[in-house]
Amino acid sequence: MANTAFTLGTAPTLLAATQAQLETATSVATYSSPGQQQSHPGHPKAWAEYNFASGPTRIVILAAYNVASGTFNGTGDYDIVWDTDFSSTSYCVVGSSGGTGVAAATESSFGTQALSTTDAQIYLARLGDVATDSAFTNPSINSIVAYGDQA
Amino acid sequence: MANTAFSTAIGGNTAAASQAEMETATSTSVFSTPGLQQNHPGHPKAWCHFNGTGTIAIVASYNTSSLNDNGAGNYDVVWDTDFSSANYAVTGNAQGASGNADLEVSVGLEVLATTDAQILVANLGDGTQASAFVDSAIICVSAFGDQ
Repeated sequence: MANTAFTLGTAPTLLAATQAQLETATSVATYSSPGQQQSHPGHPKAWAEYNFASGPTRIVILAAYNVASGTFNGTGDYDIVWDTDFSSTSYCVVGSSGGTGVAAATESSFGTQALSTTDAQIYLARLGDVATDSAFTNPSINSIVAYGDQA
Repeated sequence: MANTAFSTAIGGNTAAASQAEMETATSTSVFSTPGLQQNHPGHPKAWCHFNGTGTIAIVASYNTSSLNDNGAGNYDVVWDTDFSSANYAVTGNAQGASGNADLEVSVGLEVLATTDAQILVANLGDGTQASAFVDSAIICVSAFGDQ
């Protein structure tokens, strides 16, 4: 597809896309800006890397975008709280976890337990094997990414 | 919210966002460009779909330079442009054995370094068969963070 030509300083004036235009994702007559490009429907809305600390057990956010905090509900059960909320509970969360030097049976599976506009509740369970049942766990390396529409 | 007019673009001043402006992610008076839009903090920094069986190979990718095969189900995904620290996020999924829940797989995060991510693929196992690290023909990972 050819580029859209803009003549600077003449009509039509060069315009930054609004949140609505980015969410519609059809305009080729406006520009995406750093303050709004995340509003595009294909753009991730939040992500985080985190682990756990004890005394009492809590979630430590190591790096993140649009994540306000983590809430520890119990072993392998926690909430990741968004900074800017989602507009509905219909959004997508993906994640992975693990830890250095663990055996295959103690690798963990990332489960999405509940989604609310303000946070996502996550379950983490180790895989289990012949000798040991699967069980909720707190892995040392955890990542989460969320996609959807924000308010 | 009304559109913002780019008056700064008139008269030869650039209105393209710099890497720093993209990383700050607040300005609506400069515009993202294809060469720098990935510097927005919410933008994926890398992804890779690779075949982890036999001679492992990248099928499709963005900002992934190579792979290392460390053993069964154990891989390094090497980034092209490195991350600025080891604190970044990686998510992944992989193909398990067809029609066998016990042999479905989970992608685990082993080590995150600025230059690469080590991941492990393990099948689930059950009451009679231990879970184990296994190679997978379809492994997909994505990475988010600061470069």
